[in-house]
Amino acid sequence: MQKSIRQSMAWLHSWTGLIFGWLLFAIFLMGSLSYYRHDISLWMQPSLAHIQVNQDTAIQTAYQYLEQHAPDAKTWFMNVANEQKPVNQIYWQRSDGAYENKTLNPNTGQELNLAKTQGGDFFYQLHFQLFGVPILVGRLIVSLAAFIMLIALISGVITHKKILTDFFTLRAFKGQRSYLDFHNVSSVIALPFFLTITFTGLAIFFYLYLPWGMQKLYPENNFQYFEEINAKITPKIENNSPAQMQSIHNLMQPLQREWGKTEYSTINVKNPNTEQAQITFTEAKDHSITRNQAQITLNAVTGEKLSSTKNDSAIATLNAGVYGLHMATFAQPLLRLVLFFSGLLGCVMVASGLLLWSLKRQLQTKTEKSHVGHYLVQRLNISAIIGLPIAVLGYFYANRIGLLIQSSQNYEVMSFFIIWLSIFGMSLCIKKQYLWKINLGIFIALAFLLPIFNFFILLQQNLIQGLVEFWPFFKIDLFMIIFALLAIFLYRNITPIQHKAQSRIRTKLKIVEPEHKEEGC
Amino acid sequence: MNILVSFLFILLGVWGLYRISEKQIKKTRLSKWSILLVYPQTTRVVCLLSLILALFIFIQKEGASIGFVSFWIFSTPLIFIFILSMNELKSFQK
Amino acid sequence: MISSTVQYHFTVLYRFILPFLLGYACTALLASNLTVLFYLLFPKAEAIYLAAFISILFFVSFVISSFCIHSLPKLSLISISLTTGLAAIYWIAG
Repeated sequence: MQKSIRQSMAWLHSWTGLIFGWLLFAIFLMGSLSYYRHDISLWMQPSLAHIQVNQDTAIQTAYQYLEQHAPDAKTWFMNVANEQKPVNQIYWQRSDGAYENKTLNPNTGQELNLAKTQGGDFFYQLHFQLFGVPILVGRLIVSLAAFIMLIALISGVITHKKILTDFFTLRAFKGQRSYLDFHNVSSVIALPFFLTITFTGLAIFFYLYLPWGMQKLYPENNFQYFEEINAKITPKIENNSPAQMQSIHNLMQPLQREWGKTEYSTINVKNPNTEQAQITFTEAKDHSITRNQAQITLNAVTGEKLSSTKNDSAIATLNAGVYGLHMATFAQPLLRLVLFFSGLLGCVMVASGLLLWSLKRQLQTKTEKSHVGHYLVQRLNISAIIGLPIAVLGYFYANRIGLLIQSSQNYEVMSFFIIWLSIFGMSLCIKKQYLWKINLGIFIALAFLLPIFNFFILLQQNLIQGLVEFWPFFKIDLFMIIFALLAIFLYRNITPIQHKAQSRIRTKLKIVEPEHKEEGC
Repeated sequence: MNILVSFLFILLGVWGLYRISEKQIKKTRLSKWSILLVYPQTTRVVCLLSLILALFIFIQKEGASIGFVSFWIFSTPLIFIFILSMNELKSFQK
Repeated sequence: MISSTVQYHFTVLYRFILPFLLGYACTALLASNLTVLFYLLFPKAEAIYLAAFISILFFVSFVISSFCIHSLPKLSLISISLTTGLAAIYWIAG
């Protein structure tokens, strides 16, 4: 046990950071990408890019489709098409309790047969429930990682003695000190973001690792909790008889008077085509962090405005706020970009911590003899820090190659994991001095080639006619180019960084060797 | 426009706090900004007020909750760029 | 006679198991007890959420505090007493 609290916290910070560091890096990177998951999905479904969305038409077609195909459903739910997601996604609960869903063209109401790609949702799901493990297990692992992250953040703050004094300090190309400064700067300047995102992530999944409250108070149906935390308890409906609902055009009149011209997010109909039918319109614009978009509920038969069923108690608002802060649906484009930057800063924080750990251990070993543990840590570091971004690029390439060969099967996810594993396998066989240069080189090449490859594939598939139509896709490609430029900066400077570290190690060994020689005599 | 003004206030506040920070105080004393050290506590208060003003502008534009969150989120890249620009980042490769 | 290295590893293992496992047990008991308490003041869903929210903060504090306590016997005594106390309240509350 360490002598002081600071030393104990430093020890705790190092070991919790190392054990979960690689997983946390992946979670942070996937979470950052999730801020743009709709844009990524659109990039990966280029056939949707041409759909011009008119929300009035979209609502009309979705409503008509449900009236035709699910007139006796228990509930209808419509995710109205918008610029980011130009398709109507509709869900309904059949009278037997089972759920169905369809994706429709917002202009024609036709069912869409989309390409079998998960798009940005793959990153989103990987972020909070991993892949290849049961959903519950994945979410529990991520919750544990989030908890460890919170411990690491707090222990890091306690350890960092001169948190205010060193706030502006960043020494570059000075070996261990540079790694430490970079780790400190990236952690401290976005500390409010990291604490918030970690705690809210943990609080969202409380029901998985602390289920006893729900089991105690909702013994028949644990998930009744979710209905009651989001909506006020409404009396059960008895003797509900069929009735004709008003047309969607009539139902939207009071909304247009109250909200004017606005964008809609969702439309929910409870007990459609019955006397108790209720329709709830939710506005897209989010004016608060508590996901409290404007909502109007009407009696779908009479058109009478009903009181809101949203649970607006203080604790329900806290729950909504926790969820809203993590999901950041309130974030406008510039704020979303900065949140993405903050997420990447989290990756930098974890990466610099892992590299610092590795370098410190090299400095602490008394001989140049390689250590299996350190060897593995170095290879895992490179596989996470550079290998994972390469795998992400591979995911995008697999999408475009699938488009080119018009494959009915989807190999994007498989490509992602094969590439990631290959990078790890390759790193195990490469000497330490070439690790970074080779992996960075691969990343730079792939990142620069992707926009060019993307452009030619889209042109070849007649999905675009020229540069103007390429712009919606180039917005994502621009990020690739920026990251490629950043990788070039790292590539050019990795040699002096490694030289500094190696000279420090050799100096240390020279100091240690004379001591050993004396002991041997 | 408002958002740019907020950014300026944040940068102003951060710059002032940097100038009177423990590690920079010697350099500031010898520079043209030594006036900031005449009343360092006042300078500190002014810098914090500048940050509060930025927060107020965000709140006025976006509402209380989003404005408060925006202030902290937007501060991050501004402070990061500020730190990168204030520190010597060149390598001395032989 | 156990070597000092093996003893150190056992100490480390114990120091991890105690805060994390016993801490989790304490947290689970606290969450249940708080749920029952808050149900007297709030509706069901609100009581559950508030209890869980506070319990998460408790778990974090428990783990951090455990690593601040130097003496293992003292740490064990505090942890076991806390768990026993919460278990007793849980048993009484039903």
